[in-house]
Amino acid sequence: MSTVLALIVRRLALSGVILVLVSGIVFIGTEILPGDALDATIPADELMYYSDEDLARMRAELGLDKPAAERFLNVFRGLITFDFGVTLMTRESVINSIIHPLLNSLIMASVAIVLTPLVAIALGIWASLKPGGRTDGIVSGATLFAYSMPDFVVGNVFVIVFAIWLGLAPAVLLITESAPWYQILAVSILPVLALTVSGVAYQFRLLRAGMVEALASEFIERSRLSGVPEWRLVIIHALPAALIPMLNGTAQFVAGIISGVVVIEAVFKFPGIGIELIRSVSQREVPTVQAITFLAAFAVIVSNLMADISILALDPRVRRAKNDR
Amino acid sequence: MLSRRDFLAGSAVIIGVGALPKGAAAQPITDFVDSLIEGQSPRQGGKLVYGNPVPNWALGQSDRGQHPYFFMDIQTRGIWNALTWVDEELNVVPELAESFEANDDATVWEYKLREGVHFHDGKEFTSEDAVASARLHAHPTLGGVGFFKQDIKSVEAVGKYGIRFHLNRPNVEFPHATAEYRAMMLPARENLENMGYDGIGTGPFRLIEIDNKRQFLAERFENYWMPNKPYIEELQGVLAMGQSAINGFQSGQFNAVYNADPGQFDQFSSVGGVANSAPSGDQFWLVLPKNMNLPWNDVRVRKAMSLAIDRPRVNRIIYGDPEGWTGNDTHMNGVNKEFQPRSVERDVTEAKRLLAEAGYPNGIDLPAIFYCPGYPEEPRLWAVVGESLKEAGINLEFAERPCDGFNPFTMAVNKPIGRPRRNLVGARNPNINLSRLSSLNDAEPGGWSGPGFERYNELLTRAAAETDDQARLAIYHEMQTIAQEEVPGIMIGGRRTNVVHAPNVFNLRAHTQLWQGPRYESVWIDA
Amino acid sequence: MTVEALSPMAAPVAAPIARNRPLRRALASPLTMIGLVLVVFHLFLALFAPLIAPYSISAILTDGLTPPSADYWLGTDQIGRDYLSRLMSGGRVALLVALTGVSGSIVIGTLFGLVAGYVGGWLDDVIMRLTDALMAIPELLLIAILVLTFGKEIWSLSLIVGIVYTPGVIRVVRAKTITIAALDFVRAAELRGEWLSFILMREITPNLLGLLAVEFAIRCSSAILKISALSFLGLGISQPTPDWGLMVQEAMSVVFTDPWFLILPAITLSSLIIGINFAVDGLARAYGVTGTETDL
Repeated sequence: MSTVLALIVRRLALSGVILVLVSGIVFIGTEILPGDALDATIPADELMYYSDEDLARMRAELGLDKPAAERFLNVFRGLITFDFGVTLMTRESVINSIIHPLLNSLIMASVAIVLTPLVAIALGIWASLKPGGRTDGIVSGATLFAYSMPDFVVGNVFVIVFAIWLGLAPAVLLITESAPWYQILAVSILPVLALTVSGVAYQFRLLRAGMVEALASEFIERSRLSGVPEWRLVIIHALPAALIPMLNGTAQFVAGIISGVVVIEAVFKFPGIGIELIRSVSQREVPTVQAITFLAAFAVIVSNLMADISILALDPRVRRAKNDR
Repeated sequence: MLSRRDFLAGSAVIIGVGALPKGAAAQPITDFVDSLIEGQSPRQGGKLVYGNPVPNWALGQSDRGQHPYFFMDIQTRGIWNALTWVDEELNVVPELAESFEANDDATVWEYKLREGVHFHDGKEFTSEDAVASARLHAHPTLGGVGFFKQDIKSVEAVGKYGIRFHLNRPNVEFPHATAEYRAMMLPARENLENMGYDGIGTGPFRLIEIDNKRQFLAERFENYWMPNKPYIEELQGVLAMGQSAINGFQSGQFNAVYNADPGQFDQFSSVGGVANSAPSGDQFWLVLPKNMNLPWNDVRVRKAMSLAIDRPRVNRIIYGDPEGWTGNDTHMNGVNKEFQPRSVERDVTEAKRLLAEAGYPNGIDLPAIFYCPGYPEEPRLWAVVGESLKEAGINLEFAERPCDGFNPFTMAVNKPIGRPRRNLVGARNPNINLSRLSSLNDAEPGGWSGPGFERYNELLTRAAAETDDQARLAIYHEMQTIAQEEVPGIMIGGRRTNVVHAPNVFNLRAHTQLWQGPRYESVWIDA
Repeated sequence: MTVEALSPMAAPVAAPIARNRPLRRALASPLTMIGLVLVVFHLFLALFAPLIAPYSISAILTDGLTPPSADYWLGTDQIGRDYLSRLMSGGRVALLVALTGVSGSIVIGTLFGLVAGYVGGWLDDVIMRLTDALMAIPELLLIAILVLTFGKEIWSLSLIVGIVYTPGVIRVVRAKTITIAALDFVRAAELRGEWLSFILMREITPNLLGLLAVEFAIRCSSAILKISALSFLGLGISQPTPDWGLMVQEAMSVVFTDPWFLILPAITLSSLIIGINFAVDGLARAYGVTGTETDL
């Protein structure tokens, strides 16, 4: 047991280190290269409108005239304590303006994160019952097609087909940002479906590869020859082993869901953090952008941590392994 | 549709805007509303849900949408009323005022207030509220009505139902200013700073909830000062940019869309939408700052720009109206009877010659002009303008910026003029229109100076005090000629305000002044 | 024992004829053939579109939207520009940005991956932590914040793509390097006392080429999708430059009367991505490339 604890503690420590590095990257990306947050706010061809005194004064106002190390510490402290400061334009609290959209997106993303693997597993099982067979071919082909179709096209097609032609869901989300969670959930149905389509394709491919490998093992062969029904082999024996590569890809999966959320929210005008991000980027609101990026990375790291712990639970071999790669 | 031929011939079709004879009142609002319902049998009840593809300008300043300054859009008359209203013929008529009268030199205006008007919280509307509201709107830092700030010296109550305005200078057209979309009558508060944030007004609907980034919901106010109005039970407005307006209408969630892109009317008519357009609407004014070392400091460059832009083509491609009037490089609108078109519409050869004379024989690269898609057709409009400029060798990029926060963005530098940008200019009375290019306005003339500017300002003061219509008309013409000679900025005109609605919605009308309509009192929805 | 006598990790290569067997095997599969044809078609289109397109991409030729006609085979868009010309040039910027950016990420990523995988130790730890940190930030968000800093010009978008895809390459190269470094011929080189750069360049890298080729193609397809999404959101390529993502966004306002404006760029973009995916799937399988992201 203590080995498991040790591994978990090690994982936590690693995650912490990564989080520090993430805040460093966010800071560098927005405040140092090639200029500081002020330069990020002012593109090159507009600098002609500012006199040097203007720039110096604005820098002092925003606290940008202090040395980089000191600024990073301030930014870092702010990010870690979730105190994201105030917006550049209206001096209103960043956290207040993003808390509702954040929760809304969390609701939508959580449903997608749970739904996608389930659908992928279902498809994976179905296709693996006869590897190389017709069902397998059709499902694999369909998922490849879905994988290649850009998510903004899928989203728009869903709106047209399911909302406008079939009338199964609202075409425009008539809902305020601070609406209660059950209302948000109700309007999330179509966006989540659109989000799931792209995610399922990739997860399915991972799962299927793992299943094929697992089903080809000797143990499975012997079980098959001794008369164990195919579905038992697939679900009880092959699936757990095949899940591990899927879980290994969790960080990437969650990151992909978050990227997908931004696009899907733009298509559906869902009151979430994705459209907040797009607004802040086009308005050059650096503090808000920093906050959202940091929170997104935080979510990815946390989910990865949880996936790692699940792998520990699923696969005894990992518990014994020293090498954590 | 006003055709250019009608205009140049001075036909009677042209709608006039001008000063009122002292003390007169045009057709009261109640009569206007009744005339619309005549012959109809309006049904009580129903919900009007409208999509608005025009982004909320106020977002960069605050997200407390209960205040009329920061409401979701500028159709503030659903929730509030002002002292006066400008009708579809662009005559100013009383709204919460019963009548208004000026003294001899039009420096003092006295309004008699309507009695028996109540706010949504039950309180009665009296001079205390009117005075407090006017003081708020005219306040140098808190106020949001530019025309109040520039004209009003002081305000006082006259009895329980009266208000008197003392102006800085004579203005025969002052009642137009009290009809502005932000000049709403609000319940008085001790502290001007706190006024307006409770979302309470005297309008036909009571605000229930608002998220000024997305939508608002309002319900019928039973105690509205026009008895038995409005007919509709609920009003909901939704910000619907891009294709959301079309999607919402197609799916039946919206039964109206304000300000659709005229090129997309088909998208609505394919499900039975009916579009109605006003005779005119907003125009687009290009602010050209002349206080920085930019090529257009030279008047020849500005003239070349004005001559090179293909305005009729914009009307053709974007508005489907090839014969329509075009902007005349002043803030005057085609529906003003005092409007004076430019002497030459377009001359690319002359433009090139002017550029060569100014030292740019091989064309010129100009700094980017910013716009935000305040109307859905704007990206297309500026693409057409940019392409037509290229024909004269002028390379000018129109850079799109997001609308929320656009104002703070453009005014953040080079104060008080701001960046080169386009401003939306509504159709108003000549005094307000022409004053925007004068020394009363810090930004829009873009740093215009010189003898022409001084003469322009002189003429403006004279016109504001001139009571003889013919003399005033002559002054307005001379002012426009000066502006067209010196081109302090460029006006692209020709838009028509439009409203698209489902066939079972009645009396929802587009107004030339975008913010004055639609009026909701006569709107009803058939089952 | 010389290096040349030992075979690399790829399929058995003995004689020139045998070397063609994987390629022939790959080409035998119809899906792979389709993929290759699509990819070649798109490359050709991207290179020669300005020359073969009937009109300029920004010239305003008619008064707004017109249906297909003899003059304008696909009609004109809402501003009056020829749609066929714009469709043909729609992939150029995205493809250019993707190709340059991903090439950069392959080069830099291989360098760091080799060092991390072969040298190991604390250097490996540092590189891996940095990679983890970069990959913890979702791709689209990272691209968005870098757009804030670097701008939307073509060179800045390429730089951004390069930065975003490097960590993934590092990971994959490192994993493969570790496997290769354990092999005999590498040990032999070490015993011989060869320089580090020699070992990395001459021994290990040639065995990575298959992997790198597959990674390059996969990341290109992902980059093209991301850039199109960025343009769709209004944060990337903007008017008047044609781009399929941007064209999809414009199409949504007229989709109920003229759905072709949505279908055409969507299909064109997807055909490129499908082509890359099919081709890569088939070739990778034929050449026995393992260790990529899609193969586990």
